[in-house]
Amino acid sequence: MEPNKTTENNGNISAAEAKASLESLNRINASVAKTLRPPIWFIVLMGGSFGLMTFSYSAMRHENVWALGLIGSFIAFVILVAFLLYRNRLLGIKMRLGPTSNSGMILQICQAAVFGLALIFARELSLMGYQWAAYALASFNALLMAGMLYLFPTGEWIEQGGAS
Amino acid sequence: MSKSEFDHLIHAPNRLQICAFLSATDQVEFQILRQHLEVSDSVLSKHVKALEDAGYVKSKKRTKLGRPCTWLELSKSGTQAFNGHVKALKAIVD
Repeated sequence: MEPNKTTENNGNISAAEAKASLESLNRINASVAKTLRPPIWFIVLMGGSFGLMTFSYSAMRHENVWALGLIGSFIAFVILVAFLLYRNRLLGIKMRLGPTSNSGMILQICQAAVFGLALIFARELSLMGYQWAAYALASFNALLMAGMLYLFPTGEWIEQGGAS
Repeated sequence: MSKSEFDHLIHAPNRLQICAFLSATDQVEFQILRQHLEVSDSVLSKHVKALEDAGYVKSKKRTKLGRPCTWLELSKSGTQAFNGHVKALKAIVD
């Protein structure tokens, strides 16, 4: 074992000190999130393009106009993601694309599962004749994408209200 | 998965914050990190050097608009040590 590492509480610190350290970690995580959080107009654009992508996929029939909508919204979404990464790089921060902690991994898997299920249900229900599902689930995906970008811009789970 | 291990090197407040910032990102410019931590260049250099010596942080020199700048990133062993340290802190609190 390396000399600066000890198991469990052999570091001889109190629970209060450990709690204070964890609180300072939450503060720095919230500060990073605040720095990386895109502007509201950008969040609206990203949420909108993702919602349009969901709606276009649901409403697409063979080669109708929504197939073009799907391609257009997908390209717009990819350009917006690239712009976000470039903006943060100019600010001096390169964003991590994958999760680094277990909580981050769980958050991203849940997020992907919910987005995917909403996309599939929107398509299937729309094909069954429930056209309202395309509108409802596209709005749901758009709002969820915007919410995730606002609350968890680093892709990691962050305790809310930690920023001073 | 990282083991729960208390790390004295990481536990120092500034170094804990450096590791937390770097773990949330891929790479960060030295000056941005300094602004966030609200410390001087020399203080940050000292802490980064300690983490570099332990193999927890890697630094890369680049140029930005013709000016030299240093980018910092947490190494794989640094990520494991940091996650293990956070687990150890949570274990102490629980």
